[in-house]
Amino acid sequence: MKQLPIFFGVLRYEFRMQIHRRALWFAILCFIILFVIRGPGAIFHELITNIYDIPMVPLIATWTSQVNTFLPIAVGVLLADRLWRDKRTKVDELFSTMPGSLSTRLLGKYLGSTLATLLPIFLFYSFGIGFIYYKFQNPIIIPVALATFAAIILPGILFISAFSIACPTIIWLPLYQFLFVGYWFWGNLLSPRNGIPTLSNTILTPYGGYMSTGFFGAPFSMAGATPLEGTASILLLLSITMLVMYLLWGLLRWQQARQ
Amino acid sequence: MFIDFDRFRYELRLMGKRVILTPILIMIGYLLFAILLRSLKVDPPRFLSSSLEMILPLATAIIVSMTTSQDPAIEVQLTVPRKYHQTVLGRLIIIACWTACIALLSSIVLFATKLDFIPQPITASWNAPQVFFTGLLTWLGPLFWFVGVSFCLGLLVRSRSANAAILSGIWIVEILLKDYFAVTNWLHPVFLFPTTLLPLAGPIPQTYFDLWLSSRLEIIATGLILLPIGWLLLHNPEGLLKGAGEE
Repeated sequence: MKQLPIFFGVLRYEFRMQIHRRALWFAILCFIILFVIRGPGAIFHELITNIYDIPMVPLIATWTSQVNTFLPIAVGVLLADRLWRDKRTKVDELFSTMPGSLSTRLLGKYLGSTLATLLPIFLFYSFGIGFIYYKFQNPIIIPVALATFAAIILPGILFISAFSIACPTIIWLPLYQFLFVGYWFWGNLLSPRNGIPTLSNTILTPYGGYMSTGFFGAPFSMAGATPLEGTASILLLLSITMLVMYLLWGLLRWQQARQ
Repeated sequence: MFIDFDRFRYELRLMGKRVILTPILIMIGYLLFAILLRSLKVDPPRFLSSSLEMILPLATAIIVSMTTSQDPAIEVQLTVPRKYHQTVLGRLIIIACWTACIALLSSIVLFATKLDFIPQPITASWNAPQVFFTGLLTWLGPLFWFVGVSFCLGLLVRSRSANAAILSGIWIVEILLKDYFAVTNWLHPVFLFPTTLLPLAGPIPQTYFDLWLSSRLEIIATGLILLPIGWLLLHNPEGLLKGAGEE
């Protein structure tokens, strides 16, 4: 049986399953409420009035970086129970008797649930882009916004999603969720000036500072970053993503062989 | 009594070693990292303070959300003579008390080795026990608050992952907006980590100390108020049964 239709079937089903979770929408809504805690509309007011006093493209990149500062935490935590759930409900054994290969199911699950979790974030992101559009009234904003989303948010989300799908197969789920939150702060937001060794300010940051400044000139993300460093950051994040998914596939195959 | 000795043993076995080992492993990890920091000529007290004030409460809250909001045998639990809300409260007490024990032990070690990070009013000359017991408030507040919020939220949201995500969001917002929390009066009762983040250690002005102390007490009170609310939420068998299928 051809694997491509199975892949799209799994992707579609995982997408629908995740998008219909009320917990997903509720958790991300809570994140957004926390995001705007400084006052309802304050952050959007900043976009309309452009308090940063920067041109249009860096402003879009700045908004993208703001969204990418802490909404990925919700993605990582909410995706962590996807594979674990299959084990808990014992459907993983049932799946292994079906014609779809393990790699196809794994890839479909990974992409389907990741895209579904991204959707509410994309809607919130688009809301902010709407305010920037209102200020500049320039249609070029839409392709630029899509490009910043694809270059700044997407590689990091794919990176953390791979870990969130994979790690709970070997780490206790709540422990992984806790470690992931700690990692996000330590590896993305903690300034190296504190003296604590950190991955922040390296190209291995899913926060996307190198892409934000390197490609789009956002002034607050990573001062002095070049497009080359932005490209290196994307390639590194995607390479590690593929490696993690490959290792997960190998681990699950090994676990199946042992049964 | 919520939990007798046999019950205590069974609950421990049901929750598994992971619940017991997690706070110990966190503190060991922090200790090792602190040794690394010292070798890098970075003073570790503030870093170690973060383990008690910021890290242990979050880890405990995520464990609480995992072990108290749902039960794989919920249908059976609701039919046995022992009420389910008593079982859950017993679990909650075990988890919270165990973390508090580890935090207390760590506080004693840090205090004895002069690696503590405790504020005291500049005008007062306190003796060692006064300083030590004040130091306990740094982590008691966030621990009670996170446990209480996680307990209630888990029963309201009925999804362990969503609960963990929201707790994580609160945690990170407290860090990112620490300056905003510090200057906004109405947010002081929910400013969870001022000791580590501002930072507040050693002699500080009396006004700051009073603000710090009152916010600690308000946070502890909030956590304690949430416990009976969670207890009442546990009296909803329909909600508990629905929650089991919502993940």
